[in-house]
Amino acid sequence: MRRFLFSQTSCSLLRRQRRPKDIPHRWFISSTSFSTAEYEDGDAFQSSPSKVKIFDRHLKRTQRDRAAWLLRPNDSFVHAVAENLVDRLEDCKKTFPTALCLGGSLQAVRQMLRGRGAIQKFIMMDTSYDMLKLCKSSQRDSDNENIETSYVVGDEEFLPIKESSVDLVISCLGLHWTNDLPGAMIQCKLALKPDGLFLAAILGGETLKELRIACTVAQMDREGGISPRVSPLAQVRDAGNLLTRAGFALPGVDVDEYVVRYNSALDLIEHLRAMGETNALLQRTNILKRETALATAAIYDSMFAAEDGTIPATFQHM
Amino acid sequence: MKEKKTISPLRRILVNCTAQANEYGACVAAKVPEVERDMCLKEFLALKTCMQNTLRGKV
Repeated sequence: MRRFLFSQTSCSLLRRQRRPKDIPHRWFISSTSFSTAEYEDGDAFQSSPSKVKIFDRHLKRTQRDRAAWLLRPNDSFVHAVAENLVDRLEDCKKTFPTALCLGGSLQAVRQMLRGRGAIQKFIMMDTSYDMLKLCKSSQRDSDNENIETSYVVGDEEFLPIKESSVDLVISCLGLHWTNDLPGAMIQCKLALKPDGLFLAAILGGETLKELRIACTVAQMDREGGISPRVSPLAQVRDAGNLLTRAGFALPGVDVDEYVVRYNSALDLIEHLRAMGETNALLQRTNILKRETALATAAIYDSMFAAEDGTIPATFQHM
Repeated sequence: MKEKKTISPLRRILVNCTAQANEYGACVAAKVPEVERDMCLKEFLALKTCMQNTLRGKV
């Protein structure tokens, strides 16, 4: 699992330009400095002025609502990811009184937290209201009662958090659905106090490559054309650039690959549905013909099956 | 939340038609780098008839 591990030291850039008075003025200066940085490099990731829409956020919210009902409380995969991420808190000597948790798998993160990092105030944010309701109702059962938690419904791309107000931002499997990943990370950085920490786990480019191949081949055979079924995911090599571009001072990236075995392709799809990770591309075709689905399942089985009849699926985390 | 386990039609089809599905899958897997339309048509038609039989009522 790759984790973005950032420590933002007190930004000397801001200090140089700071006037002795108002904060709004400083905010304005810092935002212009970021936007000029965006214009300078024109690499593969879209810079925020163009606002390219890849994902349908409304649909994603509906899918997260459904996932809030479907997700089993002991889903081993999500918990493994969250555990790995939260372990990173123990590598830092700092304590984090305020923490912001962005959507993805909020409940798993909170369950894995168990007092690490000395967090006193926890803000949970998600685009889906149902998911937050679920977290709230399960809070009574958990043992983290000394932590004061507040729940916010918000979008990761438009953070409703005051600047320089949190010490720690955690995002577990949420940021790979944002339209503008650099922008979202920049907003996270702005919300962080100087010397704050940003931890995120997103899915990487190798994820579900078997599914991608099976879908493409099946669709080519049955229909003669292809439409995107698996969303574009960040590549390993771009991860470091993303971090530095957002302005974080000490970036660190880890990659981790999980191969999960399922009994059939249908089980894989059901699991994805339960995690809220199903297709939300704007370019998707809403129609999936029954024959194509059948063909995909058959091809997945034949191309990638192991000896005991189970099929593997790769999940790459960074 | 499903109280009862409703088995989706696709799953029933896959359970019933495993032999045809395996044949079709093997055919496609053998030709994988050059995929064209209706490449393994015969095997797929066999799978399709099995699917229709399953849906019609477990023949």
